[in-house]
Amino acid sequence: MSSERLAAWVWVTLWATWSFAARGFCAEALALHSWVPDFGLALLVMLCARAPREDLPWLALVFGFARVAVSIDPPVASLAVAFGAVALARALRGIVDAQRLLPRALLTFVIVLGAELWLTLAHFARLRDEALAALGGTPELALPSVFATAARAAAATALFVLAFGGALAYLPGLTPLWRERPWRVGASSR
Amino acid sequence: MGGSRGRTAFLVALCGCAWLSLRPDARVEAWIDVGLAPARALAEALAPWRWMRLRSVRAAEAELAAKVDGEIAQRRALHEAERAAALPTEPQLSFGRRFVHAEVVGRRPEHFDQLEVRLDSATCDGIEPGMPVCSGDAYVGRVVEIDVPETGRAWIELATARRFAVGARIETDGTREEVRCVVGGLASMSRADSGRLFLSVTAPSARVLPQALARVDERLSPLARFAAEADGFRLGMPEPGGDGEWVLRPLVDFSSGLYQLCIVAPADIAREPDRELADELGDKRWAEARVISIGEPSARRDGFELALGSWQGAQDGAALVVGARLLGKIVHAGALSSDARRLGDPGGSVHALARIEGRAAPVVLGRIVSLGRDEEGALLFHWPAPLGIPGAAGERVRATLFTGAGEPLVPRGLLLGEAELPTGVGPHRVRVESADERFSIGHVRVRLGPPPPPDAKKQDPQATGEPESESDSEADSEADSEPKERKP
Repeated sequence: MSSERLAAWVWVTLWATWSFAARGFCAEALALHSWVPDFGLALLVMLCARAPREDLPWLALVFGFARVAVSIDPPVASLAVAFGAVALARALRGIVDAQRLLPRALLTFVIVLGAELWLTLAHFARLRDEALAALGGTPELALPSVFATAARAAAATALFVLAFGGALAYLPGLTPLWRERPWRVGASSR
Repeated sequence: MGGSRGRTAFLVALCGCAWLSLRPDARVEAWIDVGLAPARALAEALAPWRWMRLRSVRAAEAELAAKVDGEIAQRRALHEAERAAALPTEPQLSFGRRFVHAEVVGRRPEHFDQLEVRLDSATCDGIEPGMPVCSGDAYVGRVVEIDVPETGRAWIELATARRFAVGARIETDGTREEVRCVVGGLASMSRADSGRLFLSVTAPSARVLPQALARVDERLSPLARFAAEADGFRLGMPEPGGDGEWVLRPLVDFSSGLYQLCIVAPADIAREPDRELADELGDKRWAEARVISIGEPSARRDGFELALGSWQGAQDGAALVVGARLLGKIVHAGALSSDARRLGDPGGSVHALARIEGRAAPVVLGRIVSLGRDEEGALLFHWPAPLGIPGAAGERVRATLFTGAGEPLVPRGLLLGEAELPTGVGPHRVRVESADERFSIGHVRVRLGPPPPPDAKKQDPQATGEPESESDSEADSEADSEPKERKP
């Protein structure tokens, strides 16, 4: 691995950690948690659209680690989100042009929606019986409300991708991931 | 994903993580924690973000430090009131007896109906298996083993245990004969998840029980060694339980509302005058931990990452304390860092008790479950309130909430916040105003587990863990090590 690519992976790791943390930072500062975009998953989808196919599992691992580092969600659930997002993006990037903003925003919407619902499910799976019984009778935590919260986060992230998705590719340090071997990137997009 | 081998490994990892997300396995996750240990270094990359809020952190910490003295004074007053409330109020129940204070530490692993208690003076001198245990005027069970799992501690079997039986009499107005019965075990109509427990009652001589207080009476039992000490303590009120069954509504919350108890001993036992145990806040089982995250990315969660992992002694369920107030608990202790949930994290729970304005005795709330926060940032809790607070319908009382005993890694008497509690039997939703700022904590104190015993093989490895099961079905397997049943 060239030093330029190694540096790019270090940058990816840093940006992944910062982007997941930024969501928590903004959410607590603004007190509008469900309307804050998931910057981390938006960045991951952008990278999945551009990076060579053989790099995708490493991207999943890096983003999974980054989320585990900053979130109190169960570590295996965070890893599952990263792996699942990459698997979906990998499957769909052969069908739609995920480098264009609109398809990427739609793909991000689906991934963030799925991730939010999955993390909620994983959280509930680890609660004690009496906690589940208590939460079961709470309107804010009933299925429609959970779905609405997830949909808000997904919509906010999709809008973020539409507005700033183009700029994500120009974050410092990332371009060597796909600039170094353009012919392989072209070959791996199908 | 180059090659079929890579694709297979990726899919196995995806499916494995998905499966473990919904079906947690502690052993596998312990290995995953080791693999994820480098993630701790990633959190240090958030240092620039932490510097940005350094000023607000210092301001909040200074504000909390200024309140510490007042909070500790509140805590001391609460403890004295709790100890006083653990003693019987009826004069005839105090006569000719000696009461030894016992603070509940937790449930015995795999035996939900047995409590681990620590005694005053940290010694079991003069205490014997079979001695009755009370909470105020209410009878709660018997001592079954002493000096286990360590010196100065004991296990108490509650009246809810399947094999428990105690003789009782139901007092009437004097015009009829009193009814004799046997009380013990849970009635079939009990619902553990809502905290509504009823005691089973058998009265061979009466098909209909009088609606009057049932009291312990073991005078007819030749096997009851401490019948005189147990005599007269209250058990509960009889109620029809359906299908011709009669049950006893207990006077205490057996599921999670027993914090301070008294062992009732003969007045002449060989025991020095008791000394109160040292305050847990002042002992050495604490570690200072840095908050290394800057906010929680999940929309539904409320917590932070701590720079203290299981390799440094952190354990699941350990309390996070600032001054004398509870900030949250560790929900998952990783190898080098831990996930900490605040009190506003939905599904988190804590044993609580309330100090109500104008009332001397604190009110036990039992386990309350967090429902999250409202729009103003106040904490919302689900309170099952199986016994409730006496009062007129719709009345609310102003109270200060504290942690209760009974969780091994959460000290009693930590401040939770202020609330207006509804009266009457629950379930209720309680709004708690807490001074904890969501955005301003830089350091917390983490409660550590007890030091490992000298001979670790003789100890139960889960002695400090929370109960996983609410069933007492496993209790029968240890029948040989426990005293025999005493039925009147």
